[in-house]
Amino acid sequence: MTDLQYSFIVSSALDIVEERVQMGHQAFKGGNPALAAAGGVALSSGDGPQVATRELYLGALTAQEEYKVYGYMTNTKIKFVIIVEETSIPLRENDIRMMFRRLHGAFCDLMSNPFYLPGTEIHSKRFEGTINAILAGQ
Amino acid sequence: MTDNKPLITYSGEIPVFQGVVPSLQKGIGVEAVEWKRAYGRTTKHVHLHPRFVPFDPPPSTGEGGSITSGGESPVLTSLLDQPMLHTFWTDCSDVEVYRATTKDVIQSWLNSVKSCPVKEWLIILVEPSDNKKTNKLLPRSSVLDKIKNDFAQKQTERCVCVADPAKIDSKSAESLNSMLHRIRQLLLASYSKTLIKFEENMRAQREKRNEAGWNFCHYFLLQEELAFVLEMLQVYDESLVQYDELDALFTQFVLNSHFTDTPKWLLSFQRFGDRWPALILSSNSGGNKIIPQIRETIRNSSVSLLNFRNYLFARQAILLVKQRRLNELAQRSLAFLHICINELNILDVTFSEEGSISCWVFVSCLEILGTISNQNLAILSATNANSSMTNNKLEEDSEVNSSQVEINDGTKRKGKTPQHHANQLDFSVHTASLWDYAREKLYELGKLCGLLPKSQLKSDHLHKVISLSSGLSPFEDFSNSNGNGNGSGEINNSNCNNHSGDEMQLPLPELPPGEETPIEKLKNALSSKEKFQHHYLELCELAMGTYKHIGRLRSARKVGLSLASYYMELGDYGKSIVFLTEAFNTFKEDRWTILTIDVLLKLAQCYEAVNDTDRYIRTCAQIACSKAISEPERGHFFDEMMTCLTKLENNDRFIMSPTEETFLITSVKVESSGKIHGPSCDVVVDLSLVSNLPRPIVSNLVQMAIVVCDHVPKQVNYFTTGTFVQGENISKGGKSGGGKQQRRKDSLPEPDVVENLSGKQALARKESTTPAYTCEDEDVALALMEMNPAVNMVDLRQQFESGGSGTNKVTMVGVGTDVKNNEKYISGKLTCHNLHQSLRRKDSSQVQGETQVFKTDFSQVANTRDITIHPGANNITLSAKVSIPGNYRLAQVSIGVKHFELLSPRLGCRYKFSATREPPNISVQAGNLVAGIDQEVVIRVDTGSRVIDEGMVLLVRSSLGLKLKHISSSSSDASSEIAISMPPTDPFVSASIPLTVKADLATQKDSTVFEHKLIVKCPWTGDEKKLSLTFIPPFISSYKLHSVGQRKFVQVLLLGNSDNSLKVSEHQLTVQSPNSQDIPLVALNPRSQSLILDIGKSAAYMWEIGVLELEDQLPFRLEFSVKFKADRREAEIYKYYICLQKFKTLYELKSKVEPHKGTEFCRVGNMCSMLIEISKFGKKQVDDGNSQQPQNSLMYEVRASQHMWAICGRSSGIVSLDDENDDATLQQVNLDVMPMTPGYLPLPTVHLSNYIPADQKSGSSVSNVPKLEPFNIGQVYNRSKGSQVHILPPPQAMGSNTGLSGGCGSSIGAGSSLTAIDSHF
Repeated sequence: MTDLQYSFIVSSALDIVEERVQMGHQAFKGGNPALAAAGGVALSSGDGPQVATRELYLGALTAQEEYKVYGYMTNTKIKFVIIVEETSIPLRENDIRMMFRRLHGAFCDLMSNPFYLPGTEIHSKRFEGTINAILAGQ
Repeated sequence: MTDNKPLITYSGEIPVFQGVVPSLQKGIGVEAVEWKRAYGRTTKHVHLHPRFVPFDPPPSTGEGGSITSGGESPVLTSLLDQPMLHTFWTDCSDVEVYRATTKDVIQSWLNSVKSCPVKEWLIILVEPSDNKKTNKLLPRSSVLDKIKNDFAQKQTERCVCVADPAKIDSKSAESLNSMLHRIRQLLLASYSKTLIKFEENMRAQREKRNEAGWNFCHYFLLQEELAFVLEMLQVYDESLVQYDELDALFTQFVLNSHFTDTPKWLLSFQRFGDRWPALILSSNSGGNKIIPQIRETIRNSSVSLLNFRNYLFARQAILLVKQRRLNELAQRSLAFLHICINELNILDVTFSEEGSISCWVFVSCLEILGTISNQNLAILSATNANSSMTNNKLEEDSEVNSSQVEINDGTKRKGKTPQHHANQLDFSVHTASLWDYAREKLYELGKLCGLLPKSQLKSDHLHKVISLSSGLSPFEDFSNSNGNGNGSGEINNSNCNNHSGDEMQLPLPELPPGEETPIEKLKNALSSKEKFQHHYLELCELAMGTYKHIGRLRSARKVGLSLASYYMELGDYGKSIVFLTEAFNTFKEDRWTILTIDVLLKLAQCYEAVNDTDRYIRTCAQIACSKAISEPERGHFFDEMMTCLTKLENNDRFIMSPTEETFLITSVKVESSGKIHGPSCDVVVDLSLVSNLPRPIVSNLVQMAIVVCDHVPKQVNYFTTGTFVQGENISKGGKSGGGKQQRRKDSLPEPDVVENLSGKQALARKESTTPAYTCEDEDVALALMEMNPAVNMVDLRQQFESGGSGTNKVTMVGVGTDVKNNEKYISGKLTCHNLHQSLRRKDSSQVQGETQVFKTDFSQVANTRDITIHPGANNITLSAKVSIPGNYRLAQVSIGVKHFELLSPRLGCRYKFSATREPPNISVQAGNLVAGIDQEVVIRVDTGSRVIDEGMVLLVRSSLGLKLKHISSSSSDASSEIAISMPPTDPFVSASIPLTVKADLATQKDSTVFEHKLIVKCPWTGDEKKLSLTFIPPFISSYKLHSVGQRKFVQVLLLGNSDNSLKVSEHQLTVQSPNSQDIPLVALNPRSQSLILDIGKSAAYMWEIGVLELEDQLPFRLEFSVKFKADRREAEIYKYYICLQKFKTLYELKSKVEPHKGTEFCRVGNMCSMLIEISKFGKKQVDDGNSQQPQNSLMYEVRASQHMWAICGRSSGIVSLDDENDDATLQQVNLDVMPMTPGYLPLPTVHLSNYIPADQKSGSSVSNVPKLEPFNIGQVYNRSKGSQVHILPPPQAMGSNTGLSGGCGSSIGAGSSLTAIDSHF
């Protein structure tokens, strides 16, 4: 697939990310914990300021014949999307989750770099290294 | 419609049974039975609708439906055709008869029942209505008892007696009911037992799945049997679970097949590569026939993967529909399709035709979508109508279902209606992607079959269409049977052989009549280009619409893009542009470069095609700037842009566009003196921008709008202002009112609380009311955001803190003052009200780029022409002239390339400068000016923003006593008004005009300065300006009169006052009085003496006045004049006037202090005597002035410091000096004084004054009291002034008489020397 196609996939997936997050929000507002959990948001107990501790992993967003798309959104609304090509060896949900966690960790490290300007293109050997390791399944 | 029903056999006396059966059929299903199940499964309420069949004793050997395993009990492999309960009916009322025949019949029946797989039985004794009488005598040994005794000793519930159902009375109804209940219970119990057994067997089978001979298909049929039963019992959810388990199992097998050897049975699934049977869910697309056929192939293990999957999904779908779980059906669909495709890939199933899978997907999608929408409609109409049943089957099912899920009643069902609506909306989330999927597939098919607008339809294409559509039928020859309704007998027959057809009839939902089936649709769509287009566009529309409906804008855009591409192929570029532009905006908002560029490239193509040059140029510029595409491509579009622009050159129209990526402004620097020079103020703007264009470009005009800005700085302090206003209000409210007011505020926060909206919010409000967003608003908003980025987010509210009511929504800046003991205290609290909103991180995707750029007012600009802008960073210097004073900001940059004008985003108020017009200023510069001499002053003219023109004249006037002369003027005359022509100058230059000024030396007595004014007329405005000049006198002069006896001397003192050294010469003193010549003045200084006087130095001149001839009663004026000369200047004359009167000596005073007689020295503490002698002078003169001296009484006063002298006698007294009596010309006064301190002490001073006694005669009040009149200077001559007396310290403690210690230094006489000249002041 070309970059363009990947971009389209990710772009469309963002729709669903928004939808999921929105769903979580509504559930959160409506105070329906069951629904909230389904939407990826858990209610914090207590009367204090209500803080939503959201499940960052958003699960499978969409699927096509050839691939599946998984989403993850950090609390600062940084979104990660992983596209997994459909193979005979399906990845387990937990593997995907781990991939996102590692990606998130790598991203945090990147953001901690004072020379990186948030929002700019990422040119980091270290970040790239982590990504490659994830892709290689190490 | 026929359906699977629980089977109950009957035997015994058939007529009896037939008499009861109508009420049985009716009665059993009426009430639900609670079905308690094993393994802790949830209890279900089940309605049973059994069917009665005659008892058919099984063949003795385990053949047909049952297989005997181990000979003990048959293992069930099918359930549906198994009777679950066996009943025996009899109306035998006579015990004898029973003994004779019935008992044996029952026994044999029971024996044969025991050989059945299901051994549940029930004996029903129907009591005829007239039975009671005959049996009255033998109630205890009734037939029922006998039967119970014989057959059911332990299970008495297996025998039931029922009263004749034909009779209508309570007893028979009761007995019927109890029988019905019994039947239900037993039936269910039978099912429970059987199913447990069945499941055990099933599990055992499943455990063998990895064994060699195991066949999934067989297992499938086994478990499906269970599913059928559950479905029959209307436990749909559990029935569905069976299928889901099978689904998962199968999937697992397929996935595992990749790793391990493919099991033999799985190979069969790979066989049929020439069929891609459509999924069929609705009955009238042939589903009712196909489903059993597929089942048959499963039985044969000859099923193809797609057929199997279709079948499985169809079953799942039906069960979902029955449970009204349409949403779940929609949700599962896409996954189903994907899994199938994936499995086809894994199993390497190849198809004879390319596009077959697309066909299958397309048709399946439509089938699912159609089913969902029809079912939803049906459910809705059923729920809404609530009575009549359009689709009876479905209605029945759903009714039962709903009552199963929740104990049914009408109200609940009504309550469910909105939920259905909600469900209907929810479908879209899943159906949208189905529509999209179908659309994609149709496009692929269209491409394959040459149906796209640009492709040529060829014969292979037609061929393709035919083979594709024929492959859609599940079996080789089925298309015929489906189409023509005959043939395919073989399969049908085989089907019928094994199953009584009714049982296998699957209740498929029906399509509304008249609608195209998906297969027909596909065939139709592929039949011609026009049809294809119609269908494709419809699908696009549906997919896009559904996406938009559920808010998936990006996905909708993606469909839109496909549609755009299609329209482009079609040549309908106008329509493409609409979709492309929408997509462009969305992607741009997301800042998705790759996608944006992709769209832009297409847009460029469209614009070029429709000849929209403006937009084409704009788009070319955008593309040329993108780094996402290759260099040559960028170059190409750059050239395109330039060529188009060249073509437009003769046009006078300008194309405007936002700069966007083309030029990025990196920095703007404004340099300006801020002052208007002459007509205008020069402003230089240093503009740094980055050009993203691939090549240098010549901009013929770079402009930067300069806009007046004056309202922004005021808003910055808004915060404080608001705060104070609040404080004011409270303090006015006063002490008592304060509390109430506050409480009210707490309860009604909205209207009462003064919202301290920051500027941006106020603005936001404005926006909402007036959607028209003017340039100015936008700029101000930008400016405010720049100043305080938090402004627009933080909703700060002010709330006054009141003591008790701790509000949980205190949210503000509160500054209040309270009047309490006249003291103000201020408390403040700042809380953010909307913490969540304001601190919430903004989603990056919501950052809105400025898509539309308004052109601001470019009437005043800084500009530069013909600049080459290179790729990368550029520095451009713009210049402007601002002629009106004010505060300005740089609002916008416009870069013109030929007829293409690129407008930058607005710059807000970041870049500001001000231009002020400085007024001209005229001042005077002068050193310490000395009056009386010519001196230079300089008039300075600071031109400010003005210019001195050629021939401009400065008019200067002076105040009285000041003479002016232009230093360069030829005329030597100084005048009080002059006109000076000035040299022409530039702005902000100061011109100096030197003048010579000379202030008249006025006669003056003290050192005060002379104030003079220069009145200058401003040459520009005509205003007069007063400049003050201060002159100091050259000298400070004073005089002193000295006396020696009767001789008088006058001394003139000149103290140098000016910084300059002045040469003083030719001093002269002349008498001014008329008889001046008579009075001799004898100068004591040499006449030729000339002195240099610096500041602080003084010169003294002395003259003796010949007093003898002088009459001093009248004032006597003397004029002192002296010539003084500053360096190289002309000598000027300084004059000083002295006036003397009554200065001749009248009395002489002499005083002396002596020790008392007998003591030698004056000592501290010893009394001394003081002798004062007063004598009179100048008798003769006194004669003349009789009137002046009517009495000669003088008053003396002796004064001394208390530390020095203690005066013991009369310190004051009156003495009279009589002219007549010579003796009286001398008066002596003796006093006792005591020195208080040793040393040389000045004598106590004696003060004389003229004593005028009270006039007794005259009545005037003035002279009633005696008066003292002081003497003028010089009238009393004190001879002893300044003399001192030596006082010894007091004698030592003992020897006041010894005098030994006091003797020293006593040689100095007490009578001290007298100065020759004594001054009297």
